[in-house]
Amino acid sequence: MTKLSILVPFICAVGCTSSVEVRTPIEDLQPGLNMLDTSDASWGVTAAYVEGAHVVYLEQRVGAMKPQAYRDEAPNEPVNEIDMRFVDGNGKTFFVQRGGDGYVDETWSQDINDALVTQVPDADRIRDFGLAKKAAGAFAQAVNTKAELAPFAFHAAAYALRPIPSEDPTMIAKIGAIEASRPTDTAYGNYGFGGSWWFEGDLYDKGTSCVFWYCPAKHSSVAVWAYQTAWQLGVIACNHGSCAGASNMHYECYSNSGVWRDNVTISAETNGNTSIGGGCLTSYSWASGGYNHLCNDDSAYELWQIKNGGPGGGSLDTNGDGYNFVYTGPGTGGNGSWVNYACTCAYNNRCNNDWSRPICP
Amino acid sequence: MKKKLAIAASLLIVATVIIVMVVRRKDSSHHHHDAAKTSTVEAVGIDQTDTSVSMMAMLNAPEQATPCLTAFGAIEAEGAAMKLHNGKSMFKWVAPKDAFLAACQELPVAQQQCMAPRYRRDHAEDCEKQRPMPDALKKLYVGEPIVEPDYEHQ
Repeated sequence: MTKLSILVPFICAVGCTSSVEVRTPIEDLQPGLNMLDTSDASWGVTAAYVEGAHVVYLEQRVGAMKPQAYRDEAPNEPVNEIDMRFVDGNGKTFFVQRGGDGYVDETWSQDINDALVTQVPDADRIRDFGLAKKAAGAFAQAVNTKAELAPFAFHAAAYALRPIPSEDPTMIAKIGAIEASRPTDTAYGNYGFGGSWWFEGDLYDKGTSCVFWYCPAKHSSVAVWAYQTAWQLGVIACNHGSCAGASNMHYECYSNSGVWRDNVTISAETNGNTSIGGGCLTSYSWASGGYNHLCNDDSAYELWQIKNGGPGGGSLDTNGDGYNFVYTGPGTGGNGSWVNYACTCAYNNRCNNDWSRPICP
Repeated sequence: MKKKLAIAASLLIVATVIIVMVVRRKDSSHHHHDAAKTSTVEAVGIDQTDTSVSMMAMLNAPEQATPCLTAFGAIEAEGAAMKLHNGKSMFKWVAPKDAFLAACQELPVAQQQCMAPRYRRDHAEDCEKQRPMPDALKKLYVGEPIVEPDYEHQ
């Protein structure tokens, strides 16, 4: 009994103080924009936006510095890859934008997958996207006036300019076909929360390395959207450069899952058999071949995973579109627990060393 | 006695927890910061590719008296950079200087401005709208052909 009376508060002490993520609760916030953490611009920022009884949190984390060529080409964009996300009042991530191959804060990947198994009423999520838009606009305006925080304005400002999914004519137009694809032999309710998802991947691109009126290469990025009975989750893969949806990026085409998928996870670089949306794991370089990769390989891989629901086994056969995705790493010999997915166009004849944007499979 | 001690210990632990939580909360803006991940690991190969070397050489070429002179200076800088880099120019053909300048000066002023690489970069949307007819461009330069995937299959 004596031991127990000591142990209980001790366990409580450990449990109560071991939380990694600290977000100021809504009752301690002011209406409108709250800057929660701007103390270290080399690390990132955290803010919150309150309207009525609801809050969304905006978080940005600073990643790898972009190559000099990208910095020279787009001096108005942040010099580092930056991850950005919005989190709802219950701590659930509903929009994330990834700068490079993996998340700067690796816990975001799990947070995204938690969002895929947590029920959120459509109306709440629609409201969250709307709040996020207001948050982004207010945040961009606030940080733009402070030199050290100005880089964080760029992606927030771009988000603020986008329509939210429920008001985007393109996203709305897709819903009819998606709903029509619902299996009729299954009760509608079973396709509500916890169950199936429909995935959409929108490919955006822009000319890159342009001089005069000649652009020898293209940069591409994919916006992944997850739908149940409303658009619930967005994952933008910027693939090291400009992000899908940005004003300088042009929409090209889309791929979708074509079926409703169960027990799916969305990850960055730790792709499993049911993972969607990961980029290529191997070295990032324009010297394509030899399993290096660049943005267009990432885009191709992301689109193929959306279509296939995961990389599948052995290799992802995309014959006909100019891309192949192959395993490399210890797992290939059956003696390791992990594999890398190398994206390469070295074994086909139409992908121009990956310098053009991929097709949408 | 033991019971009193246990209660005292419990109270002490609870008090410690409260203090720790208060301190953590006050300091919450700092305790969870990881080190910034601002390495250039992913970017190593990009800057060494021919296309990047070409573009950076042209963007960094000095401004000259006119946009057309700046444009030709940028092309010369690109050529020099590629020679040094032992790479392949992004241009298949460029007109000789006199012909280049003459053809450039025939362009409307708005198009001439877009011949200066940094101006074109900073006014990309406007310059795209100012795209000259293909015949006019062919008098200036021909880019290396770009092989696109077969988009008809999508």
